[in-house]
Amino acid sequence: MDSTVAGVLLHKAIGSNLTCIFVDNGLLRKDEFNNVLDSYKGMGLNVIGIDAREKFWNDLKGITDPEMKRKTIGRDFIEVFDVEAHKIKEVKWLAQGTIYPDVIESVSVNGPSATIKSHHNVGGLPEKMKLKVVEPLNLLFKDEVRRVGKALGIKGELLGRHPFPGPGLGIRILSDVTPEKVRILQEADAIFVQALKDWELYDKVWQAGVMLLPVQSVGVMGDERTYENVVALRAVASTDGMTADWVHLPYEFLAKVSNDIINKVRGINRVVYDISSKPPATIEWE
Amino acid sequence: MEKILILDFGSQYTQLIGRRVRELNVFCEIHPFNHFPAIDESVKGVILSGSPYSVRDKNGPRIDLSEIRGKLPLLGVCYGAQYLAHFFGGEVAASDSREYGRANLKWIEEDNLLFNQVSDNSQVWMSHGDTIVRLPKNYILLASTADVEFAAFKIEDEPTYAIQFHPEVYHTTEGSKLLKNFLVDICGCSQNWTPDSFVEATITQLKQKLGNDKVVVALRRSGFNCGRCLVA
Repeated sequence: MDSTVAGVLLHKAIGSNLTCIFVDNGLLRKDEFNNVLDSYKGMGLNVIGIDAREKFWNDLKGITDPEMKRKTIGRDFIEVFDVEAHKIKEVKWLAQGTIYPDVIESVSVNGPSATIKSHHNVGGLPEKMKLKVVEPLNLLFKDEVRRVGKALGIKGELLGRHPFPGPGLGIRILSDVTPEKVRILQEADAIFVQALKDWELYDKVWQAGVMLLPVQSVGVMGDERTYENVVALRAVASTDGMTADWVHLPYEFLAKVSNDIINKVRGINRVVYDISSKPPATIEWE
Repeated sequence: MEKILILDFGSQYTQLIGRRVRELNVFCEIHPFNHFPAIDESVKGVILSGSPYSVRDKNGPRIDLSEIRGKLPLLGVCYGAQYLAHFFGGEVAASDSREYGRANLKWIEEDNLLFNQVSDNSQVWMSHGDTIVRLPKNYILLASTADVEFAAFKIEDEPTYAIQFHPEVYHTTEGSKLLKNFLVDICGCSQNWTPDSFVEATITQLKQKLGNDKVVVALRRSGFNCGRCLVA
Protein backbone atom coordinates (compact mmCIF):
# COMPACT_ATOMS: atom_id res chain seq x y z
CA MET A 1 0.00 0.00 0.00
CA ASP A 2 2.80 2.45 0.86
CA SER A 3 4.38 2.21 -2.57
CA THR A 4 0.96 2.66 -4.18
CA VAL A 5 0.28 5.87 -2.26
CA ALA A 6 3.83 7.09 -3.01
CA GLY A 7 3.31 6.27 -6.70
CA VAL A 8 0.00 8.09 -6.97
CA LEU A 9 1.38 11.16 -5.16
CA LEU A 10 4.37 11.27 -7.50
CA HIS A 11 2.14 10.74 -10.50
CA LYS A 12 0.09 13.79 -9.49
CA ALA A 13 3.28 15.81 -9.17
CA ILE A 14 5.28 14.74 -12.23
CA GLY A 15 2.89 12.73 -14.42
CA SER A 16 4.51 10.54 -17.07
CA ASN A 17 8.04 11.17 -15.78
CA LEU A 18 7.22 8.50 -13.22
CA THR A 19 7.61 4.85 -14.16
CA CYS A 20 6.31 2.13 -11.84
CA ILE A 21 7.82 -1.34 -12.01
CA PHE A 22 5.97 -4.37 -10.70
CA VAL A 23 7.93 -7.62 -10.55
CA ASP A 24 6.22 -11.00 -10.64
CA ASN A 25 8.51 -13.05 -8.43
CA GLY A 26 6.43 -16.20 -8.87
CA LEU A 27 5.40 -15.90 -5.21
CA LEU A 28 2.39 -13.61 -5.57
CA ARG A 29 -1.19 -14.55 -4.83
CA LYS A 30 -3.29 -16.15 -7.54
CA ASP A 31 -3.99 -13.75 -10.46
CA GLU A 32 -2.42 -10.95 -8.49
CA PHE A 33 0.09 -9.87 -11.12
CA ASN A 34 -2.57 -9.03 -13.67
CA ASN A 35 -5.01 -7.59 -11.13
CA VAL A 36 -2.40 -5.22 -9.79
CA LEU A 37 -1.25 -4.13 -13.24
CA ASP A 38 -4.85 -3.48 -14.24
CA SER A 39 -5.65 -1.41 -11.18
CA TYR A 40 -2.54 0.76 -11.60
CA LYS A 41 -3.20 1.27 -15.29
CA GLY A 42 -6.76 2.15 -14.29
CA MET A 43 -5.39 4.96 -12.13
CA GLY A 44 -3.46 6.29 -15.12
CA LEU A 45 -0.03 5.24 -13.88
CA ASN A 46 2.78 4.38 -16.26
CA VAL A 47 3.44 0.83 -15.07
CA ILE A 48 5.69 -1.94 -16.39
CA GLY A 49 5.09 -5.54 -15.33
CA ILE A 50 8.08 -7.90 -15.33
CA ASP A 51 7.57 -11.65 -15.38
CA ALA A 52 10.62 -12.95 -13.49
CA ARG A 53 9.03 -16.11 -12.11
CA GLU A 54 11.53 -18.52 -13.65
CA LYS A 55 14.53 -16.68 -12.20
CA PHE A 56 13.14 -16.71 -8.66
CA TRP A 57 12.05 -20.35 -8.87
CA ASN A 58 15.42 -21.41 -10.24
CA ASP A 59 17.38 -19.55 -7.61
CA LEU A 60 15.18 -20.88 -4.81
CA LYS A 61 15.56 -24.48 -5.93
CA GLY A 62 16.49 -26.73 -3.00
CA ILE A 63 16.77 -23.94 -0.42
CA THR A 64 15.02 -24.87 2.82
CA ASP A 65 16.44 -22.41 5.34
CA PRO A 66 13.92 -19.55 5.84
CA GLU A 67 16.58 -16.89 6.21
CA MET A 68 18.33 -18.06 3.03
CA LYS A 69 15.02 -18.00 1.18
CA ARG A 70 14.35 -14.43 2.26
CA LYS A 71 17.84 -13.33 1.24
CA THR A 72 17.58 -15.03 -2.14
CA ILE A 73 14.21 -13.45 -2.84
CA GLY A 74 15.50 -10.03 -1.77
CA ARG A 75 18.67 -10.31 -3.85
CA ASP A 76 16.81 -11.49 -6.95
CA PHE A 77 14.35 -8.66 -6.59
CA ILE A 78 17.14 -6.08 -6.52
CA GLU A 79 18.83 -7.66 -9.56
CA VAL A 80 15.64 -7.71 -11.62
CA PHE A 81 14.56 -4.24 -10.58
CA ASP A 82 18.02 -2.77 -11.19
CA VAL A 83 18.13 -4.06 -14.78
CA GLU A 84 14.62 -2.84 -15.58
CA ALA A 85 15.07 0.55 -13.89
CA HIS A 86 18.16 1.30 -15.93
CA LYS A 87 16.29 0.64 -19.15
CA ILE A 88 14.46 3.90 -18.45
CA LYS A 89 16.40 6.62 -20.25
CA GLU A 90 18.03 9.20 -17.98
CA VAL A 91 16.39 7.96 -14.83
CA LYS A 92 17.74 9.98 -11.88
CA TRP A 93 15.54 9.17 -8.88
CA LEU A 94 14.38 6.12 -7.04
CA ALA A 95 11.16 6.68 -5.10
CA GLN A 96 10.49 4.59 -2.01
CA GLY A 97 7.46 4.17 0.22
CA THR A 98 9.49 4.58 3.41
CA ILE A 99 7.25 5.72 6.27
CA TYR A 100 7.99 7.68 9.44
CA PRO A 101 8.40 4.74 11.84
CA ASP A 102 11.28 3.47 9.61
CA VAL A 103 12.94 6.87 9.87
CA ILE A 104 12.48 7.10 13.64
CA GLU A 105 13.72 3.56 14.06
CA SER A 106 16.90 4.26 12.12
CA VAL A 107 17.91 7.10 14.47
CA SER A 108 16.23 6.00 17.69
CA VAL A 109 17.69 6.26 21.16
CA ASN A 110 18.23 2.54 21.33
CA GLY A 111 19.58 2.30 17.80
CA PRO A 112 17.88 0.27 15.11
CA SER A 113 16.15 -2.65 16.75
CA ALA A 114 17.73 -6.04 16.28
CA THR A 115 16.88 -7.61 12.96
CA ILE A 116 14.90 -10.63 13.93
CA LYS A 117 14.11 -11.57 10.37
CA SER A 118 15.84 -9.96 7.42
CA HIS A 119 13.32 -7.94 5.53
CA HIS A 120 12.63 -7.72 1.85
CA ASN A 121 11.50 -4.13 1.96
CA VAL A 122 14.04 -2.25 4.00
CA GLY A 123 17.29 -1.06 2.50
CA GLY A 124 19.28 -2.68 -0.26
CA LEU A 125 18.08 -0.79 -3.28
CA PRO A 126 19.56 2.71 -3.18
CA GLU A 127 23.23 1.92 -2.47
CA LYS A 128 23.53 -0.41 -5.38
CA MET A 129 21.52 1.60 -7.88
CA LYS A 130 23.34 4.93 -7.77
CA LEU A 131 20.09 6.84 -7.96
CA LYS A 132 19.02 9.71 -5.76
CA VAL A 133 16.29 8.70 -3.35
CA VAL A 134 12.96 10.44 -2.87
CA GLU A 135 10.64 9.30 -0.08
CA PRO A 136 7.40 11.28 -0.19
CA LEU A 137 5.80 9.45 2.76
CA ASN A 138 8.68 9.60 5.19
CA LEU A 139 6.79 11.97 7.50
CA LEU A 140 3.72 9.78 7.83
CA PHE A 141 2.58 7.06 10.20
CA LYS A 142 0.87 4.00 8.76
CA ASP A 143 -2.66 5.17 9.53
CA GLU A 144 -1.87 8.54 7.96
CA VAL A 145 -0.70 6.84 4.75
CA ARG A 146 -4.11 5.23 4.53
CA ARG A 147 -5.86 8.58 5.08
CA VAL A 148 -3.66 10.25 2.48
CA GLY A 149 -4.45 7.40 0.08
CA LYS A 150 -8.12 8.07 0.61
CA ALA A 151 -7.61 11.80 0.03
CA LEU A 152 -5.87 10.89 -3.25
CA GLY A 153 -8.94 8.92 -4.34
CA ILE A 154 -7.30 5.48 -4.25
CA LYS A 155 -9.90 2.72 -4.14
CA GLY A 156 -10.77 1.32 -0.72
CA GLU A 157 -10.08 -2.22 -1.84
CA LEU A 158 -6.45 -1.31 -2.56
CA LEU A 159 -6.02 0.59 0.73
CA GLY A 160 -7.82 -2.00 2.82
CA ARG A 161 -5.85 -5.01 1.57
CA HIS A 162 -4.32 -7.18 4.25
CA PRO A 163 -0.59 -6.87 4.84
CA PHE A 164 1.35 -9.41 2.81
CA PRO A 165 4.98 -10.33 3.47
CA GLY A 166 7.61 -9.01 1.06
CA PRO A 167 8.91 -12.52 0.23
CA GLY A 168 5.31 -13.46 -0.52
CA LEU A 169 4.28 -17.09 -0.68
CA GLY A 170 7.97 -17.99 -0.49
CA ILE A 171 7.75 -17.94 3.29
CA ARG A 172 4.33 -19.57 3.38
CA ILE A 173 5.72 -22.63 1.65
CA LEU A 174 7.65 -24.24 4.47
CA SER A 175 10.82 -25.96 3.33
CA ASP A 176 11.85 -25.64 -0.34
CA VAL A 177 9.87 -23.78 -3.01
CA THR A 178 8.80 -25.41 -6.28
CA PRO A 179 6.43 -24.13 -8.99
CA GLU A 180 4.05 -26.97 -8.17
CA LYS A 181 3.92 -26.00 -4.48
CA VAL A 182 3.31 -22.39 -5.49
CA ARG A 183 0.36 -23.50 -7.62
CA ILE A 184 -1.13 -25.58 -4.81
CA LEU A 185 -0.75 -22.78 -2.29
CA GLN A 186 -2.13 -20.12 -4.65
CA GLU A 187 -5.27 -22.19 -5.17
CA ALA A 188 -5.84 -22.84 -1.48
CA ASP A 189 -5.06 -19.25 -0.54
CA ALA A 190 -7.48 -17.89 -3.14
CA ILE A 191 -10.29 -20.07 -1.77
CA PHE A 192 -9.61 -18.94 1.81
CA VAL A 193 -9.37 -15.22 1.01
CA GLN A 194 -12.41 -15.23 -1.27
CA ALA A 195 -14.42 -17.02 1.42
CA LEU A 196 -13.41 -14.37 3.99
CA LYS A 197 -14.77 -11.74 1.60
CA ASP A 198 -17.94 -13.69 0.85
CA TRP A 199 -18.68 -14.18 4.55
CA GLU A 200 -17.91 -10.50 5.27
CA LEU A 201 -15.07 -11.47 7.56
CA TYR A 202 -12.22 -9.95 5.52
CA ASP A 203 -12.31 -6.53 7.18
CA LYS A 204 -12.44 -8.06 10.64
CA VAL A 205 -9.13 -9.79 9.99
CA TRP A 206 -5.76 -8.02 10.05
CA GLN A 207 -3.91 -10.60 8.01
CA ALA A 208 -4.83 -14.01 6.65
CA GLY A 209 -3.13 -16.68 4.64
CA VAL A 210 -2.50 -20.35 4.11
CA MET A 211 0.72 -22.13 5.03
CA LEU A 212 1.79 -25.14 3.00
CA LEU A 213 3.38 -27.47 5.53
CA PRO A 214 6.27 -29.83 4.76
CA VAL A 215 4.11 -32.65 6.04
CA GLN A 216 2.14 -35.27 4.21
CA SER A 217 -0.70 -37.19 5.72
CA VAL A 218 -2.81 -40.17 4.86
CA GLY A 219 -6.34 -39.64 3.63
CA VAL A 220 -9.07 -41.46 1.83
CA MET A 221 -10.89 -40.06 -1.17
CA GLY A 222 -13.54 -42.34 -2.64
CA ASP A 223 -12.07 -45.80 -2.50
CA GLU A 224 -8.54 -44.60 -2.77
CA ARG A 225 -5.99 -44.05 -0.10
CA THR A 226 -4.20 -40.70 -0.53
CA TYR A 227 -0.91 -39.43 0.84
CA GLU A 228 -0.84 -35.69 0.28
CA ASN A 229 -0.03 -32.23 1.69
CA VAL A 230 -1.37 -30.53 4.80
CA VAL A 231 -2.14 -26.80 4.87
CA ALA A 232 -2.68 -24.56 7.88
CA LEU A 233 -5.06 -21.63 7.72
CA ARG A 234 -3.97 -18.51 9.60
CA ALA A 235 -6.15 -15.48 10.39
CA VAL A 236 -5.21 -12.93 13.04
CA ALA A 237 -6.67 -9.78 14.52
CA SER A 238 -4.35 -6.90 15.38
CA THR A 239 -4.21 -3.12 15.34
CA ASP A 240 -0.54 -2.69 14.52
CA GLY A 241 1.02 -6.08 13.81
CA MET A 242 3.03 -5.90 17.04
CA THR A 243 0.68 -8.17 18.94
CA ALA A 244 -1.98 -10.34 17.38
CA ASP A 245 -4.56 -12.89 18.34
CA TRP A 246 -6.02 -15.67 16.23
CA VAL A 247 -9.49 -14.88 14.95
CA HIS A 248 -12.36 -16.97 16.27
CA LEU A 249 -13.72 -17.76 12.82
CA PRO A 250 -17.13 -19.48 12.81
CA TYR A 251 -17.01 -23.29 12.69
CA GLU A 252 -19.39 -23.30 9.70
CA PHE A 253 -16.99 -21.04 7.84
CA LEU A 254 -13.97 -23.23 8.65
CA ALA A 255 -15.90 -26.34 7.64
CA LYS A 256 -16.82 -24.83 4.28
CA VAL A 257 -13.28 -23.60 3.52
CA SER A 258 -11.74 -26.91 4.52
CA ASN A 259 -14.16 -28.80 2.35
CA ASP A 260 -13.63 -26.51 -0.65
CA ILE A 261 -9.85 -26.66 -0.41
CA ILE A 262 -9.67 -30.44 -0.13
CA ASN A 263 -12.17 -30.99 -2.92
CA LYS A 264 -10.86 -28.39 -5.33
CA VAL A 265 -7.11 -28.28 -4.83
CA ARG A 266 -5.31 -31.33 -6.09
CA GLY A 267 -2.45 -32.15 -3.73
CA ILE A 268 -4.09 -31.23 -0.42
CA ASN A 269 -5.96 -33.74 1.71
CA ARG A 270 -5.94 -32.12 5.14
CA VAL A 271 -6.63 -28.59 6.49
CA VAL A 272 -5.82 -27.38 10.01
CA TYR A 273 -6.37 -24.01 11.74
CA ASP A 274 -3.60 -22.18 13.59
CA ILE A 275 -4.76 -21.04 17.06
CA SER A 276 -1.57 -19.36 18.30
CA SER A 277 -1.31 -15.72 19.36
CA LYS A 278 1.63 -13.35 18.81
CA PRO A 279 3.58 -13.38 21.04
CA PRO A 280 4.73 -16.09 21.55
CA ALA A 281 4.10 -17.26 17.97
CA THR A 282 4.54 -14.94 14.97
CA ILE A 283 1.90 -14.23 12.34
CA GLU A 284 3.89 -15.89 9.55
CA TRP A 285 5.45 -19.30 10.05
CA GLU A 286 8.89 -18.51 8.62
CA MET B 1 4.71 24.59 9.04
CA GLU B 2 4.00 24.69 12.76
CA LYS B 3 4.98 21.65 14.74
CA ILE B 4 5.41 19.98 18.09
CA LEU B 5 8.71 18.32 18.94
CA ILE B 6 8.66 15.08 20.89
CA LEU B 7 11.84 14.32 22.71
CA ASP B 8 12.33 10.57 22.95
CA PHE B 9 13.84 9.07 26.07
CA GLY B 10 13.31 5.57 24.66
CA SER B 11 9.80 4.71 25.84
CA GLN B 12 7.87 2.02 24.02
CA TYR B 13 5.01 4.54 23.83
CA THR B 14 6.86 7.44 22.18
CA GLN B 15 5.52 6.70 18.69
CA LEU B 16 2.06 6.46 20.15
CA ILE B 17 2.37 10.04 21.45
CA GLY B 18 3.27 11.08 17.92
CA ARG B 19 0.27 9.32 16.43
CA ARG B 20 -2.11 10.85 18.97
CA VAL B 21 -0.77 14.33 18.22
CA ARG B 22 -1.17 13.74 14.47
CA GLU B 23 -4.71 12.48 15.00
CA LEU B 24 -5.48 15.91 16.40
CA ASN B 25 -4.27 17.35 13.06
CA VAL B 26 -1.09 18.77 14.54
CA PHE B 27 2.23 17.95 12.88
CA CYS B 28 4.96 16.61 15.14
CA GLU B 29 8.44 15.21 14.91
CA ILE B 30 10.08 12.64 17.18
CA HIS B 31 13.76 13.13 17.95
CA PRO B 32 16.07 11.16 20.22
CA PHE B 33 16.93 13.17 23.34
CA ASN B 34 20.60 13.21 22.37
CA HIS B 35 20.01 14.55 18.85
CA PHE B 36 17.59 17.31 19.55
CA PRO B 37 17.21 19.86 16.74
CA ALA B 38 17.56 23.61 17.06
CA ILE B 39 14.38 25.38 18.11
CA ASP B 40 12.95 27.79 15.58
CA GLU B 41 9.72 29.71 15.20
CA SER B 42 7.83 26.76 13.76
CA VAL B 43 8.10 24.87 17.07
CA LYS B 44 4.95 25.49 19.11
CA GLY B 45 5.72 23.21 22.01
CA VAL B 46 7.76 20.26 23.26
CA ILE B 47 6.74 16.93 24.78
CA LEU B 48 9.14 14.85 26.88
CA SER B 49 8.46 11.13 26.52
CA GLY B 50 8.61 8.31 29.02
CA SER B 51 11.64 6.06 29.38
CA PRO B 52 12.64 2.59 30.51
CA TYR B 53 15.21 4.32 32.77
CA SER B 54 14.75 5.84 36.21
CA VAL B 55 15.75 9.47 36.76
CA ARG B 56 17.81 8.12 39.64
CA ASP B 57 19.94 5.99 37.29
CA LYS B 58 23.41 7.39 36.73
CA ASN B 59 23.10 6.33 33.08
CA GLY B 60 19.57 7.64 32.65
CA PRO B 61 19.07 10.03 29.74
CA ARG B 62 19.85 13.67 30.56
CA ILE B 63 19.23 16.80 28.55
CA ASP B 64 19.80 20.52 28.84
CA LEU B 65 16.34 22.11 28.89
CA SER B 66 17.54 25.70 29.21
CA GLU B 67 16.54 26.57 25.63
CA ILE B 68 13.09 25.13 26.12
CA ARG B 69 11.78 25.38 29.68
CA GLY B 70 9.94 28.61 30.34
CA LYS B 71 10.42 29.71 26.72
CA LEU B 72 8.04 27.27 25.05
CA PRO B 73 5.08 25.23 26.25
CA LEU B 74 6.43 21.97 27.63
CA LEU B 75 4.68 18.75 28.63
CA GLY B 76 6.51 16.00 30.51
CA VAL B 77 4.99 12.52 30.38
CA CYS B 78 5.95 9.83 32.94
CA TYR B 79 9.79 9.90 32.91
CA GLY B 80 9.43 13.41 31.45
CA ALA B 81 7.33 14.41 34.47
CA GLN B 82 9.74 12.82 36.93
CA TYR B 83 12.61 14.55 35.14
CA LEU B 84 10.94 17.94 35.63
CA ALA B 85 10.51 17.17 39.33
CA HIS B 86 13.80 15.45 40.13
CA PHE B 87 16.28 17.81 38.44
CA PHE B 88 14.63 21.06 39.55
CA GLY B 89 14.52 20.64 43.29
CA GLY B 90 11.98 17.88 43.90
CA GLU B 91 12.46 14.24 44.84
CA VAL B 92 11.80 10.94 43.09
CA ALA B 93 12.10 7.65 44.94
CA ALA B 94 11.60 3.96 44.29
CA SER B 95 8.00 3.26 45.08
CA ASP B 96 6.99 0.56 47.56
CA SER B 97 4.59 -1.01 45.17
CA ARG B 98 5.14 -0.54 41.48
CA GLU B 99 2.37 1.33 39.74
CA TYR B 100 1.13 -0.26 36.56
CA GLY B 101 -2.30 -0.18 35.00
CA ARG B 102 -5.63 1.47 35.64
CA ALA B 103 -6.14 4.33 38.07
CA ASN B 104 -8.72 7.07 38.43
CA LEU B 105 -8.21 10.75 39.06
CA LYS B 106 -9.73 11.47 42.47
CA TRP B 107 -8.89 15.16 42.54
CA ILE B 108 -8.35 17.76 39.83
CA GLU B 109 -7.35 21.39 40.40
CA GLU B 110 -10.19 23.54 39.14
CA ASP B 111 -9.55 26.13 36.54
CA ASN B 112 -6.45 24.77 34.82
CA LEU B 113 -5.98 24.67 31.07
CA LEU B 114 -4.57 21.15 30.82
CA PHE B 115 -7.51 19.43 32.50
CA ASN B 116 -10.21 21.68 31.04
CA GLN B 117 -13.35 19.54 30.46
CA VAL B 118 -11.68 16.39 31.79
CA SER B 119 -14.23 14.65 33.98
CA ASP B 120 -13.89 13.90 37.68
CA ASN B 121 -12.79 10.35 38.32
CA SER B 122 -11.45 10.01 34.75
CA GLN B 123 -9.58 6.75 34.10
CA VAL B 124 -5.84 7.02 33.45
CA TRP B 125 -3.09 4.46 32.73
CA MET B 126 0.00 4.33 34.90
CA SER B 127 3.26 2.61 34.05
CA HIS B 128 6.09 3.55 36.36
CA GLY B 129 8.36 1.99 38.98
CA ASP B 130 9.51 5.24 40.65
CA THR B 131 7.24 7.79 42.22
CA ILE B 132 7.54 11.52 42.84
CA VAL B 133 7.56 12.12 46.61
CA ARG B 134 8.14 15.87 46.70
CA LEU B 135 7.61 18.67 44.18
CA PRO B 136 9.94 21.66 43.87
CA LYS B 137 8.74 24.83 45.60
CA ASN B 138 7.27 26.78 42.73
CA TYR B 139 5.32 23.80 41.36
CA ILE B 140 1.52 23.59 41.50
CA LEU B 141 -0.29 20.29 41.89
CA LEU B 142 -2.98 19.73 39.23
CA ALA B 143 -4.32 16.22 39.82
CA SER B 144 -4.02 13.16 42.07
CA THR B 145 -5.14 9.53 42.05
CA ALA B 146 -5.76 7.40 45.14
CA ASP B 147 -2.17 6.08 45.08
CA VAL B 148 -0.28 8.81 43.28
CA GLU B 149 -0.48 12.24 44.84
CA PHE B 150 1.57 14.02 42.17
CA ALA B 151 -0.27 12.65 39.14
CA ALA B 152 -0.09 16.01 37.33
CA PHE B 153 1.47 19.38 38.05
CA LYS B 154 2.70 22.58 36.47
CA ILE B 155 5.35 25.17 37.14
CA GLU B 156 4.08 28.49 38.45
CA ASP B 157 4.03 31.29 35.85
CA GLU B 158 5.39 28.99 33.14
CA PRO B 159 3.61 26.94 30.44
CA THR B 160 5.40 23.85 31.76
CA TYR B 161 3.14 20.89 32.55
CA ALA B 162 3.77 17.32 33.63
CA ILE B 163 1.69 14.17 33.95
CA GLN B 164 2.74 10.93 35.58
CA PHE B 165 0.27 8.79 33.63
CA HIS B 166 0.24 8.11 29.88
CA PRO B 167 -2.27 10.25 27.92
CA GLU B 168 -1.28 8.51 24.68
CA VAL B 169 -2.55 5.01 25.52
CA TYR B 170 -6.02 3.82 24.76
CA HIS B 171 -6.84 3.05 28.38
CA THR B 172 -6.43 6.68 29.44
CA THR B 173 -9.96 7.42 28.34
CA GLU B 174 -9.66 11.20 28.11
CA GLY B 175 -6.03 11.25 27.00
CA SER B 176 -6.83 12.81 23.63
CA LYS B 177 -8.82 15.60 25.28
CA LEU B 178 -5.89 16.29 27.54
CA LEU B 179 -3.43 16.35 24.64
CA LYS B 180 -5.77 18.59 22.69
CA ASN B 181 -5.90 21.01 25.63
CA PHE B 182 -2.11 21.11 25.61
CA LEU B 183 -1.73 21.45 21.84
CA VAL B 184 -4.51 23.92 21.16
CA ASP B 185 -5.07 25.95 24.34
CA ILE B 186 -1.53 25.95 25.70
CA CYS B 187 0.65 25.73 22.56
CA GLY B 188 -1.77 27.56 20.28
CA CYS B 189 -1.60 25.03 17.43
CA SER B 190 -4.11 25.61 14.64
CA GLN B 191 -4.84 21.93 13.82
CA ASN B 192 -4.36 22.35 10.09
CA TRP B 193 -2.32 19.18 9.45
CA THR B 194 -4.76 17.11 7.38
CA PRO B 195 -4.43 14.53 4.58
CA ASP B 196 -5.53 17.17 2.07
CA SER B 197 -3.03 19.74 3.28
CA PHE B 198 -0.30 17.08 3.20
CA VAL B 199 -1.15 16.10 -0.39
CA GLU B 200 -1.16 19.70 -1.55
CA ALA B 201 2.12 20.61 0.15
CA THR B 202 3.86 17.39 -0.92
CA ILE B 203 2.91 17.73 -4.57
CA THR B 204 4.30 21.28 -4.60
CA GLN B 205 7.54 20.11 -2.95
CA LEU B 206 7.92 17.15 -5.29
CA LYS B 207 7.49 19.38 -8.33
CA GLN B 208 10.23 21.69 -7.07
CA LYS B 209 12.56 18.89 -6.08
CA LEU B 210 12.18 16.70 -9.16
CA GLY B 211 11.63 19.27 -11.90
CA ASN B 212 11.61 17.41 -15.19
CA ASP B 213 13.68 14.45 -13.92
CA LYS B 214 12.68 10.85 -14.49
CA VAL B 215 11.72 8.77 -11.46
CA VAL B 216 11.26 5.04 -10.95
CA VAL B 217 9.36 3.30 -8.17
CA ALA B 218 9.03 -0.38 -7.32
CA LEU B 219 5.48 -1.36 -6.57
CA ARG B 220 5.59 -3.74 -3.67
CA ARG B 221 2.74 -5.98 -2.82
CA SER B 222 3.45 -5.63 0.83
CA GLY B 223 1.54 -4.20 3.69
CA PHE B 224 4.37 -3.63 6.07
CA ASN B 225 7.59 -1.71 5.78
CA CYS B 226 7.80 -0.75 9.39
CA GLY B 227 11.06 -1.71 11.00
CA ARG B 228 9.44 -2.50 14.32
CA CYS B 229 7.13 -4.97 12.65
CA LEU B 230 9.88 -7.08 11.11
CA VAL B 231 8.46 -10.19 12.60
CA ALA B 232 5.33 -10.29 10.54
